[in-house]
Amino acid sequence: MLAELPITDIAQLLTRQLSAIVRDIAWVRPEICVFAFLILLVLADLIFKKQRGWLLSVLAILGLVATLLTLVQQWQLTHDQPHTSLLLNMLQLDRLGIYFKLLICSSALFTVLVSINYTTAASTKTSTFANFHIESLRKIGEYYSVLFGVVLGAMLLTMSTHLLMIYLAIELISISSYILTNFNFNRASAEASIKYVLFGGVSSGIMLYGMSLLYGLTGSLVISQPGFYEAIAAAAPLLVTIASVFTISGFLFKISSVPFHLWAPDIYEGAPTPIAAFFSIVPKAAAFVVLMRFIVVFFAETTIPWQAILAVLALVTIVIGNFVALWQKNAKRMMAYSSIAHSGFVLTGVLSYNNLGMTSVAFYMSVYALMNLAIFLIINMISRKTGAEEIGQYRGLGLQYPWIGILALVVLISLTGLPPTAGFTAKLLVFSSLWQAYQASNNTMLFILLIAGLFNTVISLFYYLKIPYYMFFKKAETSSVQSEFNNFRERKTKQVVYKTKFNLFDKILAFVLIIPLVILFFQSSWLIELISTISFEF
Amino acid sequence: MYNHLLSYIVFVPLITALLLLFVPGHYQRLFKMAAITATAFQVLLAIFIYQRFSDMEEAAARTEQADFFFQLEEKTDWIDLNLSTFGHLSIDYHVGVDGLSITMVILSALVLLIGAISSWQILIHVKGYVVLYLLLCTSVVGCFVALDFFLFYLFFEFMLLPMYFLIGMWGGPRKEYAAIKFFLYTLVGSIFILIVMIGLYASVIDPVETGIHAGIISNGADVTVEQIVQVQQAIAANAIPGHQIVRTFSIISMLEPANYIPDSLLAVTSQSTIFGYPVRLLAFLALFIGFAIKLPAVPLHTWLPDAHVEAPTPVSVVLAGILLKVGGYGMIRTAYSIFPEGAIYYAWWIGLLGVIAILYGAMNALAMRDLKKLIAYSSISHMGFVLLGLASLTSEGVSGSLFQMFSHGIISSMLFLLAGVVYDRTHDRMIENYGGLASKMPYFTAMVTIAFFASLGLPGFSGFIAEILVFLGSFNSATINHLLPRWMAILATGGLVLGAAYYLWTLQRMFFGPYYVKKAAWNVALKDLTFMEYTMLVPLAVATLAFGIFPSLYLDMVNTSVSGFVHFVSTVGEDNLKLILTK
Repeated sequence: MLAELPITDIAQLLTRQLSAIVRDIAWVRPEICVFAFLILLVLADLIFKKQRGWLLSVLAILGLVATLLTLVQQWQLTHDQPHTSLLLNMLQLDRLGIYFKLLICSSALFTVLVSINYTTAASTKTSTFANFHIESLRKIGEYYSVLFGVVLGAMLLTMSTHLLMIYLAIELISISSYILTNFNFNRASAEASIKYVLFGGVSSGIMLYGMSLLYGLTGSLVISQPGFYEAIAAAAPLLVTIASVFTISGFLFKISSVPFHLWAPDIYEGAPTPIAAFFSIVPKAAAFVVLMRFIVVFFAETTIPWQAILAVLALVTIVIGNFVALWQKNAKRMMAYSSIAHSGFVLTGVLSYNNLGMTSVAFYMSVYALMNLAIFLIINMISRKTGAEEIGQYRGLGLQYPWIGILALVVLISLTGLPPTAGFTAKLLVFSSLWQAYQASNNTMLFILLIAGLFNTVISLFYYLKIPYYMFFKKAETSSVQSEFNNFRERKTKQVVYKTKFNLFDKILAFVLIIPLVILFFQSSWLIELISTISFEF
Repeated sequence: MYNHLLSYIVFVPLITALLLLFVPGHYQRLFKMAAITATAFQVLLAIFIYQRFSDMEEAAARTEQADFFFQLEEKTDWIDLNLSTFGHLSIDYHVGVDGLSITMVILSALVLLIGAISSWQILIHVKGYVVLYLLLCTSVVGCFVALDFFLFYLFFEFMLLPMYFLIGMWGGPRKEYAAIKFFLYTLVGSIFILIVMIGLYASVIDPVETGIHAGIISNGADVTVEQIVQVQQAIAANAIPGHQIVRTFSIISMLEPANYIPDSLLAVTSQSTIFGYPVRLLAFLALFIGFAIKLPAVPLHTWLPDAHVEAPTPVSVVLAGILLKVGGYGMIRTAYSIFPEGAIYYAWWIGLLGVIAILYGAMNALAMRDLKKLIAYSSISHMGFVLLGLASLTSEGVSGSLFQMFSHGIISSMLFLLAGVVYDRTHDRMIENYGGLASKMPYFTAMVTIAFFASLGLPGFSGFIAEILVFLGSFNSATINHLLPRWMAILATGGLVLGAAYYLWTLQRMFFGPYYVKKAAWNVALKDLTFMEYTMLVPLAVATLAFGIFPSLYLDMVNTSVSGFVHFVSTVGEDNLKLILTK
């Protein structure tokens, strides 16, 4: 295109574009902030070789707080403009993106706060796993900077409307995640990391192929422009299907939806616990935003029943996530399957494709972030204290430490989706939007999803309740009159009575995460009020 | 004082529980005393409510023309969600009582107090027990007074968690199994209810709030009937834009067909179907099944015997005395009132379920060797009368089934307390392990005899009046509204015969004849009733006799509401049914 223009026009074009880029730089301040602190973290890590653990943590916290402040400022500035294109249509600034960026940064902040303890407490050598905890302490600088890499990628992904930008952002998330997975520095962690690389590589390859097909069909890479849908609507349905399915598989991989969910359990189990919580929220939130933006493309092509197909996908995701979770014995692995099921619920909100659905996705993801951070924090607290990650080893903990038991119970009730917790409100909104979608389209598949999705609550109750079941119903000490065989089996899961107390800082964090879960049930309007100012027309 | 009576009775236990959380766990007696005080206070409030209610009921009966009217109402905005193009979603804190619920409130207050006294025997984890018990008190009473579906559902679901822990931590040998079974069954039921709740609020508007948003009604002014009709007509004509519509969970708004958005699935006029069935009939069925699990109706009853056998005595008392009634009450308040056409359409089947429950429950009771299981199956049989009476849709039948719930609440509490008396002393409930207890424990035997006779429906006790009313209603239904065939009423009398059989046989085996107990140690353990047991049993025995001899004590409370309810269900139901089935 440039070659046909005279040189003066090119010069003019370039200056115009350059000045546009310079003008837009102010709008990517949060991303610049994250990037700057990423560099700072690397430098600080290099300079202060010795006593730097606390310094790096402070730096990471500062960075995220600064980013959050710039985001809040952006939120206030965008109250009257629905969306602005930035950097030559590469990114789009709107409240949807900012909302999710706030969510991402807050989750990252909590992850850092949890990680401080994860690393320092282990250095006392009390834990049997001390050696690799110390290893990770020595690498805390890398840990934080790679974490910032994921945050940066996720933030960019929430704003991307350009296929190339989407790809780059996803790759940034993926590559940083591969490294983070290995930060336990043991065999399981390394294996998880390699699995993640293999699955991730294949899925991003498929996605890139799909994107190139889309580009071939439309001649454009910007999904937010009307020309893009028009070209899609005009193209042959079969080709569009193939291209869209390939592209979407990359997103589905990130949200760990069936059939791209196989990586999740191994990675959650192998990765450090704070990172598992982080993985279950941040990349997923970002991928859901891009999916919400991309789904418009689907619905532009009307000959294929996209809604029904996505409904089947959501249903299968919910069912498989919940049923496989039933058989899990490891708490982190169980939570991995639970988070797969939750992806199905959020996907339900996305496929409803109405305003209420989008609102419910934003609400659900916020509540989900609170729940997952909280439950992984509790798992982490317990495993640091007792070394237990198997649910069977939780016996008697609730009676010994009632507060921890009650907190865990509230989170699990919320994860199940029962009142009086925000998890219920989130499910109510998602399924209301689905009811609305069914009323509008009369698509039987949506009704089946409604019924089956809600009844899955019962299945999920069964495995979530396992944790309070062991915590409260099982005694820590077992009676002496038992058969040899039973004694042998009991010995493996028998609980030692621990004298030390839980870390006060962790307890406060848990309260900070869990109290909103109850408040957001009784006053859900506070959050909905915020979300309702987001415009869902892209 | 009188304006917030219902809020007080709901939240007194909750506030007590929250305060108790900060008391160290080793003050065991303090916790038990607190539970008794809080529930005694609830009884006091219930008496106030009853007084206030009967005064106003007389005044209201003269002036009001509507089928439903509520007293002691309290309504405050709770959650108002602004969902842009979807409009607003309003959830109110709305409580009130009418004849259908006041008796349940009184019953709950009484049974919860008895349960609290009976909790004195709990020895481990007293703090946790008392806090959970008080939470249960709040949610049970809340369920009976809530007039907002969301609020109702909140209380309904919130019963599960305390019950799960009360059974699972303080129960018998198979407590974990019983607790999880109870939780899963009831949760399945509540999912059915949740589905309908989502559909209802997507379809129903609040005419006043919508009028305010659409500018038809000015904010703060008195609302006239004409204005409401104007809003309803505007809704029917699709004249109000989507973002001004205020959807609501209010059960009162749901009663009126004019409040439904015309193209919504649950509107009568939309005549929508799913898989070829009218949606409204399916919605009725879903609500019915949801509450039938709680009631429980055969074949959804299998959680009940397990839960009863494993639960500690006070929890059994509350479970049989009140929680089962939530099922029956929920049917009347939601399924029957909101979808009256379903009540007519499925009357025959519901009646049949009732008859099956009566006979099946009684036959099972006859075969049981465990005393608590026997009582549990007799509960199932008695709850069958509730279904049969409701299905008849006659004034006698509905009053009968309400009265049956009330009287069963009293009698079954007494029965479970009595079973607890034996179990506390010997830790064994097998009928065959005892014989001739009358000689050893004469006063206990007297109480058992009263309870058994009350339960089998001997004239003079409340159970008799209730069952007679149900028989009358279901028998007359064939001539009044042609809903139930006569053979159902006739078959149901078989339940009375079987009831007499299993109770008298048990009485004979356990209490009369030569004295025998299985283990020698029990000779010492089996002492007659203690003072505390008298304080629990005597009031219940007096109550069942009082309501048996003076049934008008009860019937005066419910009469106006029952005739309004029956009138509403039969007229509106007929109209709706015609509309729905014409398609």
